[in-house]
Amino acid sequence: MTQPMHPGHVAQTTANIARAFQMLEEAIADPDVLDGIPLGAVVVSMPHDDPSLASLNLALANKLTADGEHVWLQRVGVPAPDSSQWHLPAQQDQAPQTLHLRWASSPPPDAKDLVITYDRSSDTMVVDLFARRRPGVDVPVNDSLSLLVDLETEEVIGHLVPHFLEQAMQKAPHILSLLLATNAHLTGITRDEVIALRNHGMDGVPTTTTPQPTAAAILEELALLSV
Amino acid sequence: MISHGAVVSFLVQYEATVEGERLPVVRYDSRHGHPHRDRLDRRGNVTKVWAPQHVTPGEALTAGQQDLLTNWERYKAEFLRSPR
Repeated sequence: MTQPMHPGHVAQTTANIARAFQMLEEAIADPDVLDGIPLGAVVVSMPHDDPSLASLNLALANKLTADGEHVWLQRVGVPAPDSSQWHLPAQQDQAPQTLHLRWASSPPPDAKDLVITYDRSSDTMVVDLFARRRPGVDVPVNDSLSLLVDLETEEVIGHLVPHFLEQAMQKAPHILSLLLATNAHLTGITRDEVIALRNHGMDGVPTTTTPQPTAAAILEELALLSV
Repeated sequence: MISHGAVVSFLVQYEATVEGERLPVVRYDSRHGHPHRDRLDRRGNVTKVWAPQHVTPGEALTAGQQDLLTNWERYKAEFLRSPR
């Protein structure tokens, strides 16, 4: 005599059957989603839009792995990114044009409009002079600096600093203070870590900075990177 | 198998884990000339039901999905009750 199944198990299995067919539909639409799934692997779905099922399935995957199965976790139901904005600069890049760069005439950059973003994983800082109100493309100046340019007006609307900690700080030691500005958005690094870097320097030498730089001071510091 | 965005052939199988072994309980298959459903028992005997002639592989796959979602619990219970 067979035992009745636990309602939770029934619900999980029913949901997983539906997800298996969803995965099949995604593979029909884009066969590349099957790339990398090893032959003979047990595929366990990780539904993007159902965290509780994903959690249950993760526990299932752990059990299967403990039982010696080769488990493959497959995300399903992941919405496609809206890439329309990404295509815009690419389309504009297709038509070569000579840029006559100039600084934005009005309004002059104001500290409250400056949005500073730093991402530790890519070691890149972006200084947007217009609070992200204007789209732009980056025009490299050298290895340490790119200018963000509004292609319609040819105005410089910001700066992009790659290799920020690795290179830029060597050229302009005070630039680190930009990350402590109130309008700085940090990813992958905390303000305390920035303060520690500021106080001790990348090479152990203390640096002196002003905690809240003015717009003019920011632009002056960025100018050091252009040479 | 997909051709020009349409399903031309498929095999989908529901398996139950019984005493640590994964065993086929029901499968939806279009490989032998026309879509059909196979239900199996624990001795491996197969009961075959053919889809109506006008049904395309894509339609059969959709019907199989609905059938499995609705009936998998019963299919599994009947499979487990079948003699070994």
